[in-house]
Amino acid sequence: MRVLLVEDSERLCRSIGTGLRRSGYAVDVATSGTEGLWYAQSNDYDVMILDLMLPGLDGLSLLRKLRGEGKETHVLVLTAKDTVEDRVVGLRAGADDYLIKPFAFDELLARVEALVRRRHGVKNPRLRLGDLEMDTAARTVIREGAPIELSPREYALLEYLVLHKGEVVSRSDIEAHIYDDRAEPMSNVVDAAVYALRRKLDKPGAPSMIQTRRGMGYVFQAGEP
Amino acid sequence: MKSIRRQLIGGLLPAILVLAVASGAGLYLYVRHVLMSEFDAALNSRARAVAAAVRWEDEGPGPVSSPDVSSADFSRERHPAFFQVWSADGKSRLQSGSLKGANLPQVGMSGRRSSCWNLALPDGREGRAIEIKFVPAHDDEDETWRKTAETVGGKDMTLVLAQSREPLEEPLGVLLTSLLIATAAMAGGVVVVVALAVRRSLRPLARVADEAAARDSVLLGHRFPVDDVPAELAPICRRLNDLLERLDEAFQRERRFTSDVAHELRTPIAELKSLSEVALKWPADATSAAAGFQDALDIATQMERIVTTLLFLARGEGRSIAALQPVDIDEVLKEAWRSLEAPARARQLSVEFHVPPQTIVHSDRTLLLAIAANLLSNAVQYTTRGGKIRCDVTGEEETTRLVIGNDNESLAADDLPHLFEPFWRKDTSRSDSHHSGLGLSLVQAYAKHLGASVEASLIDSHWLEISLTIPALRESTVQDPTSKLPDGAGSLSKAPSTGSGQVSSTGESVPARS
Repeated sequence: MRVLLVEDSERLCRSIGTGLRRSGYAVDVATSGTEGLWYAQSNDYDVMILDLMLPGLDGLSLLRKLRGEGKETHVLVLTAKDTVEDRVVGLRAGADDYLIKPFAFDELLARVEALVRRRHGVKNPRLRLGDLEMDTAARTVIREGAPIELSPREYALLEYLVLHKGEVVSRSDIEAHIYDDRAEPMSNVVDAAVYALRRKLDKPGAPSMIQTRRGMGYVFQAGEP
Repeated sequence: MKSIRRQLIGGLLPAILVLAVASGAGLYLYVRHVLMSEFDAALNSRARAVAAAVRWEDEGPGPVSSPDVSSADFSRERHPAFFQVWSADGKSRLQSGSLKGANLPQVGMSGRRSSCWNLALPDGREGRAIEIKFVPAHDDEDETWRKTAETVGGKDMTLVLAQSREPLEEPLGVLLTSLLIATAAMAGGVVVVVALAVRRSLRPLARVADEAAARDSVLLGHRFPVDDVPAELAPICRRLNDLLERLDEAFQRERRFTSDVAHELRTPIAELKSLSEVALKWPADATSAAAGFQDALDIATQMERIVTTLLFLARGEGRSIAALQPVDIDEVLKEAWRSLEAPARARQLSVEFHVPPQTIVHSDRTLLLAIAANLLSNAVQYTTRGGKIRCDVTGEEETTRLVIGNDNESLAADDLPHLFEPFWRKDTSRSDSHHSGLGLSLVQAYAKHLGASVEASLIDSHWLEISLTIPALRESTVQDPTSKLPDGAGSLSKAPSTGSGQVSSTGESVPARS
């Protein structure tokens, strides 16, 4: 899942960015409103974390502009402004959630997860796909009762495929949602990641849960229970 | 407790009652006098009538006789009138039958023609008597009365006539009773009327009090009506409104300040919290741990700076920390400017200093340096790129003025009053952790310690001038060398940012206490 963080405190960007990346998100960081707007316009983010008091263009104007352009990115406003009026104004400007500084990192994470689920039309954080169980809150994957160890990026890849199960997902879609602008994906990086994921996920002899559609991409299909 | 109502009632009631009683008494006395005069006049004419009936007698029991009068009410049994006549030798010569041999008293008139007085009548009733002198009637041709008169010591006779005072006392009694009843009724009425009138006139006062009581918590935003209150209350309401206005302003300022402080501290706390949580959740390798600690230290330093500065601003009001000594202002400005030269060049600013050599002021060098560093650093940071900074020092007899002006396109005249408020910034994003918006508050606080004043003005809406007026040489005031300036005081600055709103850090000088 790819997240855009628009926040003018560099220190906060560093720690939130680190935490989100460690949790398997691809994170892009913008430290001014104008930069944030540019990022949000040029990419398709799953969630955007937005500070309100920003240099250049303030968060509310950014949000209104974005909504005016028809962008449906889920937005979590993260700000030190704590009055009820501030929250109401923020939510009315098009925010999906509102979190006040200082915040608990776990809460931020949980809210980002909730926004990701909303974006993909899922309510339950525990997904059951045949004999595969996936807990998007605890970020664990179990197949036939046995836990499978995945790296954050592998987990993110699986989560993205699972949330689009039955659909063909192109390599560039995967690139756009799994890798942030820090990573420089080589041409076969997605293929390599899918290969690694298959090795950990699939049962020997059985057909793979991740099928390749030549020239189009990949599609996730749940195994038999 | 003093009460206007009690005072008014206590003052008005006795006064009105005394006036009522006095006028009642006056009326009574006047009427009594009139009635008495009339009574006396009637008594007099009656006495004259009796006297006119008295005639000299040549023969008989006495010198005079009065056949007419002895018959009338002088002889009746019930409530008779009385009279008695004495000759000049003092012998009783004639008396009414009603006297039955008793005597009426005489008063002696010492030259007057008549005299009236009160007395107890022989039958015990209250009466009034008149005494007159007269000469009994005589036959003009007959001169025998003269002989008779000689035998009784002279022609003058004395007549005393007495009759009951009832016809006088009765209406007076009725009058007195009516007056007493009227006065009592009036007293009762006055009590009620005064109490009502006072209550009614004081009602607006009570309304104002009620209004104040009802508004309790939101009173600061409330204003008392001035138009429809009595003229005496209007100035009070106006003063109250002025007071509320000032209180409201102070309260708003205080609230803004508190909210600013909370907000200013909230961001570093969020940074620290997020940093620690992420570090705990994903214990990192040694290098990122070191970077995290460096971040934590920076955050702590920033918070410390804010708190120290706030404490200085809060405590510095009372006592002076200035150690006054002769200071060369040119040299101070040069020192303050040294570290700002590079950033000024980087922003392509042109700088002019107009400082007469050897301008000595009696001031505190450290505080003056901090002021100059703050003002110049602000100027460098917020002057429009490629703009101009001008620094003037002018000495007058009483004062020395330091004026720092610069091009500034982002400030409006409305912003000037806020310029010296803690945490105020034109650009509301607080992205730059090196600037907390306390610099000009500090400048003002330092100036206060120096006995100087600082003012900001905007000329032609693009030239900002901040002027410091330092008093001339004077005796040094109380010194407190132990007081500490907040560290990094000079690096705290505030002013609106230029065009883009982006705040960038400049290499400001941090004057240390020497």
